[in-house]
Amino acid sequence: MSPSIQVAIVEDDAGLCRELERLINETEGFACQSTYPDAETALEGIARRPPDLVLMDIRLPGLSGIDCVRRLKDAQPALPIVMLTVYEDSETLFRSLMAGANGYLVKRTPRARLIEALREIVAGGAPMSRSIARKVVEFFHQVSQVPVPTGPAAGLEHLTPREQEILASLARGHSYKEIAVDLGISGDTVRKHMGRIYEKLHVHSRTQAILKYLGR
Amino acid sequence: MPLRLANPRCPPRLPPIDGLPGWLTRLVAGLGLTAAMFASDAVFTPRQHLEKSWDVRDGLPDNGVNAVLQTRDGYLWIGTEKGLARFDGAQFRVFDPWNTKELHSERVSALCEDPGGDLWIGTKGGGVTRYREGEFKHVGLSSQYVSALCADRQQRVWIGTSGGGLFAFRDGSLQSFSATGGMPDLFVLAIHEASDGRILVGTRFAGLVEYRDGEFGPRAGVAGTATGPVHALYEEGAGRLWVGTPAGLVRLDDTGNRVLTTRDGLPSDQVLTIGRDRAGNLWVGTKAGAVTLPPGRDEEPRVVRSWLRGETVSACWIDREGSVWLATAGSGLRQLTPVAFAVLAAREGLNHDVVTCVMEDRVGRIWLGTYGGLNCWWAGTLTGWDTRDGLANAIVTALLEDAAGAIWIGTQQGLNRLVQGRLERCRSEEGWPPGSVWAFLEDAEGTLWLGTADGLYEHREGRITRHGVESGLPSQDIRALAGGREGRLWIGTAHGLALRHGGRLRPLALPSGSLTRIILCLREDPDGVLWCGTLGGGLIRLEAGTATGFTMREGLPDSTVYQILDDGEGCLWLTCNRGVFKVRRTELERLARRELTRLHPRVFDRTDGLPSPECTGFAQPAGWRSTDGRLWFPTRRGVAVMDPARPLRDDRPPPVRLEQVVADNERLRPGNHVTVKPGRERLEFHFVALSYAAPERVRFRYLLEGFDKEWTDAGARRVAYYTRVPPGRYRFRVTAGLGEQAWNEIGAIVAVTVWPEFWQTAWFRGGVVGVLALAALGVHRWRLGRVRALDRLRLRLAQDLHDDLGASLTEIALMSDPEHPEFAELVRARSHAGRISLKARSVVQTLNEIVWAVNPRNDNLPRLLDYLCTFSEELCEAAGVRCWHEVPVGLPARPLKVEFRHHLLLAVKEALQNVLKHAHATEVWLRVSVAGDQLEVVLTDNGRGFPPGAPRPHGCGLENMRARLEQIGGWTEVLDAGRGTTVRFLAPLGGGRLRRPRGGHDPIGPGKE
Repeated sequence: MSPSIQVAIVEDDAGLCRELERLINETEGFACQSTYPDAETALEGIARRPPDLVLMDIRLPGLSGIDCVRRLKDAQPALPIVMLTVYEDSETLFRSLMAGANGYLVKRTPRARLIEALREIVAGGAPMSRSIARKVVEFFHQVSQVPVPTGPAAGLEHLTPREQEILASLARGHSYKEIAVDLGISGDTVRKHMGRIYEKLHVHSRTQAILKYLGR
Repeated sequence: MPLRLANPRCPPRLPPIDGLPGWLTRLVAGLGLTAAMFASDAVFTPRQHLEKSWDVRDGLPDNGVNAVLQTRDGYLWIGTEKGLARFDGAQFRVFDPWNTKELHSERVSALCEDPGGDLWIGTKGGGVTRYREGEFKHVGLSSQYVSALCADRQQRVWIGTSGGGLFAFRDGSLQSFSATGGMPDLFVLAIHEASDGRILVGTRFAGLVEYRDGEFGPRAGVAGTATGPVHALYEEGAGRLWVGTPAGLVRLDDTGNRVLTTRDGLPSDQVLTIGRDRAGNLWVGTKAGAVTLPPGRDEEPRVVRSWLRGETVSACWIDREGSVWLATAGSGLRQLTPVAFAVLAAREGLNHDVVTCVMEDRVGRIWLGTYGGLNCWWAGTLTGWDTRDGLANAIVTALLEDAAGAIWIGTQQGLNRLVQGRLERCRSEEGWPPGSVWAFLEDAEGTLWLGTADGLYEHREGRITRHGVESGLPSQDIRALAGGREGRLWIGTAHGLALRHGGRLRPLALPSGSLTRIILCLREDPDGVLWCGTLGGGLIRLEAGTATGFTMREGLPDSTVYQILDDGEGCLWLTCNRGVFKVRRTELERLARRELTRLHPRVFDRTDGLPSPECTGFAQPAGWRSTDGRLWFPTRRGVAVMDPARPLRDDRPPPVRLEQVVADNERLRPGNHVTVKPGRERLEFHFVALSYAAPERVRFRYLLEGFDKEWTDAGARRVAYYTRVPPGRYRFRVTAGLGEQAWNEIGAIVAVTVWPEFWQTAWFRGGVVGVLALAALGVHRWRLGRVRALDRLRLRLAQDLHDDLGASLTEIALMSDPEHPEFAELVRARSHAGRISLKARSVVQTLNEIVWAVNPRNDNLPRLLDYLCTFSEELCEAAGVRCWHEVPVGLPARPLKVEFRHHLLLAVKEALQNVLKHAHATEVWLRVSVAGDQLEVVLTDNGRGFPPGAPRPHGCGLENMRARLEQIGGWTEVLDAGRGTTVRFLAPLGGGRLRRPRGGHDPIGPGKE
């Protein structure tokens, strides 16, 4: 059995933090390594003792969750970060995804679903709700109209047709499984495509296009 | 006694007084003096007028002047051969037929002013023109040669012509008097109104004619006289008439007639004009000059002074300030202004113009030392001595009359003495000073003191002693001597002051800081105060050891004082290089006590008749007060005499007139009110002060009330300039004064109105302000409206929060109460708790909705669609139903009103909740499409639908949906397809109202298949 996945929780609400901590600890294969009440202590602590997964509240006092994600991703690009949010505000979630988050969870999700989502993320999955998918489609549509900057990331700006198909299906309401069946590819391939879509998003988070898009 | 000028070549002799016994001398002297005093200025042969001449070089149109007159407004009018000129003291303004078409000829020959103030102008060959209030109007007699004009007290203007007879103008009509009217001669030369109302007419051939009670006749009592031409007429008081004829000047009165001719001193027998000045002297103009005759009822008329020899004096006029204007036929105009100072100079017979000292002897003779010898003026005669007569030197430096009556004369190179008419030389071998004697003094003991360049000489009992520096004098250059109380002798030297008292001689200290120590003159007051005049140190006052100095710093016109005279009226008269000035004693005393800081002396200069401002003062006495009270001042251009008791000058300020107002080169008619059109850059006011005696002393001050904050001192400038005067009403005021003397109280005033440009007017501005105010009001109300809308939204939010959340939370509270019976069993407790949990979650969901709705960033179409997707997905997921979306991506961010979002979302939500609750569906489709301005949301499910025939549940849900869509201008449609239901929402994105198409299903009402 693989060692427990060390989870770090960044949450300012003490009660909720306790609940989450209990949830993680009670779940098999997961363990709560540390909790931080705000982004500054989290940055410092995670730098000293890197966990395997970070659960981060979007709304934090001081430095916002999105900025914290960006900094963490700069320091440790491979660290998976999942955003926690009370409201499913697509805009904010999209931004956090662009900042580098691997996924998000809605706080009021039932326990079972929470754990399932965590496992998926740990397994390398990249869950995406259809609202987010819509946003991603829209974003790349915008990007395709912006002049392409040169550089090593040049090949990653645009979505491939397969990726576009997947996103459209997602937006319509299909699940990953259904998409795999429809397109005649494996579930893993779908997941890989999703991963690449995320990468492209993350890359773009540093380009002019994002800044322009964010500026809207 | 006729004037006799001294001829130095004749053997000099004193006037016949010497040799007579003393008492007789004094008697005669007294009589002569009395005569001189009685005759006063009329006899005064020294000139006492300031002469100015005006000709074409000054602006006069022609040197041939025929008439002069001053109108009551102050202007001087001059009729010349080339037009009419109006003089204001500085400039001539010419009117001639070219610029004034109402003047029919440029040869102006006669002028008169009627009681109404109109000026009548008679011309040679152009008839008569009248000038009234700035306008000329030709009256009549176009071709006549007008020779005389006279306005009488009966509103008639008499016009005398050469060849056309006499005319009278009254009430607009001209009456002619020719032979038929009784007028004996058609050639009129002069017209005069007598004091009893008779009109006297001088004619060419019929002599003097008078018009009385409508009839003409020869002048009563003029039998045998003046049948010849009569050129001039002048009535001097009732009963005496002066008539000017080609045979002389005739005086007619009850004593008979007396004729004055060249034998009597007239320069010519042809008398052309007669006038009288303010002192009562008669001025007579003839073909070869003018003369002055003194007034005097019972005396023989005699000529005392003559002017303009050789010139034809055709007219004369005396203006209100007393100046005499003589019009000549070829030299223009001569102005003679009587002045305070009478002058005797070389022109009047003095040996030299530079007079060094002046003295009066006990008889009353005036001795004058000059650069050319000695003169003596007495009773109208002037006698003179120079070196040829034995004078040691031509330059006389000192004078004295001793107790014995001898006249001591100090010169630059020796001493003379005039004893009983003989000039003696006082030789240096006898001990007398060899060089310049600057001052004499005879003290009470009879000692003669001589102040010389070589020391102080004392002549006592035949012995002459010399005192120098060794005797205690500060310098041997003695300049001034004065006697004081208790036998004091004051000595002024080139190096300070000394005092001889009680036999002792000692120097005195002058105030420290005095700029000089050269004493020029000394004077001790009866109360013991010593006054010193110095060279460069001004005036010094010495009292009981304290010395005070007065220089230019304290207000003196010069820091050199040559002589100090007391006029007996409390003033000191001082001479210097800048004229003569007078200062009150009390002022000097107050300054000495430091009660004042500055003096205000009255300075006399050329305008007062002083021939030169440079008085002389190295010789003593450099000024004298004669027993008749007159003050004599020696200057470099003769000796000036004045009587301080007589009024000096008419210091009344001259009348001010506003001549024109110019706005940007457009002349405006000045009246009482001037209107200026808008947009004028420059405004000019031209004004004059009508003063002829001393126009150079006139100063102006002006103020534009409403524009200027204070009066502007214009000095001698006669124009006031203003730029960019804003619109409004103003008053321009200008006053004039002479020097620092009195200023006009009122001066000239004109009201000025500057009209505004239309965009400056109150109406326009008011209108603009009104419009702006309305606009501001409109903006304000719009913003208020918005705020109110916001408030309404907030209110609704608050209500929603209250209703939804409040109820839910209350429920949660109730449900989770530990006493709740459901908690009795564990299994039931668990499911109960689950329900609580769900409730709580739904509350959060509602909050999410509210938060989303409130956020103004979600005010647009894409966001709305996103949200539709989000919440539909959530609801369906929670109910376990698959939800499919066909929602377009990347739509333009069209703005949507908050009501639109609100109602649409709630309607869709309601529909969805219905499906999830009642339809037992497994899948739900949400399709959104945008076509132009129309948004279509279609919700389809695969549920039961409504069983046929069964009445539709009249749930509030459907009602609500319909109402909500109507609120936003859209409509709802429910379709029952048998297998599931379709709810269709249509709404306009841009507001307005969508028309429901024909057909379709009414959501409320009996169901149709």
